[in-house]
Amino acid sequence: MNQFARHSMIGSSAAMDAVRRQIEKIASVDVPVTVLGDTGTGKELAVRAIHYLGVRRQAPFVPVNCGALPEALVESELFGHERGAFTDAKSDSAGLIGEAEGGTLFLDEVDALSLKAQAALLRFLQDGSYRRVGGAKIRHANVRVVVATNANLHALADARQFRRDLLYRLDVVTLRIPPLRERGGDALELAEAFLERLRTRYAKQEMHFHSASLVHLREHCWPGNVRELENAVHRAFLLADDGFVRLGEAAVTDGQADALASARPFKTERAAAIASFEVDYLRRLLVEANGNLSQAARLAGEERSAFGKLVRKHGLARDRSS
Amino acid sequence: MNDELIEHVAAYIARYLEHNPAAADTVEGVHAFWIGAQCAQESIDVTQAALEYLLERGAIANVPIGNRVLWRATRDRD
Repeated sequence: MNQFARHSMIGSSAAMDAVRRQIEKIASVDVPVTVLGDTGTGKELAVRAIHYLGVRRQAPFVPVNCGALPEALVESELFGHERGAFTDAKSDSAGLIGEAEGGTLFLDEVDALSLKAQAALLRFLQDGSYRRVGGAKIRHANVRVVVATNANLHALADARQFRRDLLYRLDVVTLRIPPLRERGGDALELAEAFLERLRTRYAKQEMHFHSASLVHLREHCWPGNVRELENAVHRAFLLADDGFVRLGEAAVTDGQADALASARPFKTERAAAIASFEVDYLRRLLVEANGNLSQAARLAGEERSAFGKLVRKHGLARDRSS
Repeated sequence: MNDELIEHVAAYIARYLEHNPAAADTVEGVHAFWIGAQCAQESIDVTQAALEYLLERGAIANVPIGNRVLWRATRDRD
């Protein structure tokens, strides 16, 4: 299993393929990075992959949610403090910059930092220098800073809520994590991976998705992205009592399900079964052909154009044959 | 939770820190990158228990970072 798969960066969509390639490039250069993406898209997973694929992999990875730090303590948390700097400062603290020495400091929700904390961060990004709260000594640290946000930093800068000079300093390399609705058939792949983990975690190898769940996985727009998907699969797994994990329409109560099953038109059931077969079959062939569409079409005994159309319909893979 | 499994995962974490003494991460990173692919198939709860097992024995230290916890090898200043 590769590093990406182990870290839930799963998905054979072209969008996710591009993200993985960008991560590999970004990991090889030691510059500040800004990661953009809606909530639940996996921004921390991407940043951690950048850290562990890069030269700082043996050093600390320190992820901090700036929105979770009390405003009055943000500077002390980030840059540390000297003993007696404030009432509760009973001893010296190295701060998160100190903890991250040699490694990566990941500041999630960077837009939540106060303007004062932004100024201190800017100074640190300029020359690696900082001062602990209550301290006079200028210290230096070798830390790669990666920030993430789902806010529009340019709009915040226009509204004077985010320092423009900090924005420019952070805007060296930008990585955008696409929402799940732009990732074709990735929701299905991710759901299968989550289900496999849950089977192991709860020692229930017999659990499978109900066929109608597959339709829901493909058609739902997942506004909460990968996090919503993972929680939905986990919840449905825990509620399942007959070996079938039900999502969406399939998740109605037993009585409703019976009524629904008898009321569901033959064509709908057949379409769901065919779609499920097509996705499994295409994915298997594409893996066998190492993503080469022409070779996969030959293995299937189909015309390349018709085969490609089917692959695109399910948003399964990028053509690597050319 | 299975004690043998926890000790098995704890041994992986200890070995990782032996080879990477400056490393630090939250439980999510430890689970994904420190303990090997086979152990990572287990629940993250097992990794959390293994970290607490090592902490109790003074083999590792933890540092609060906001509402989360960073895990690393013990250092002289701890």
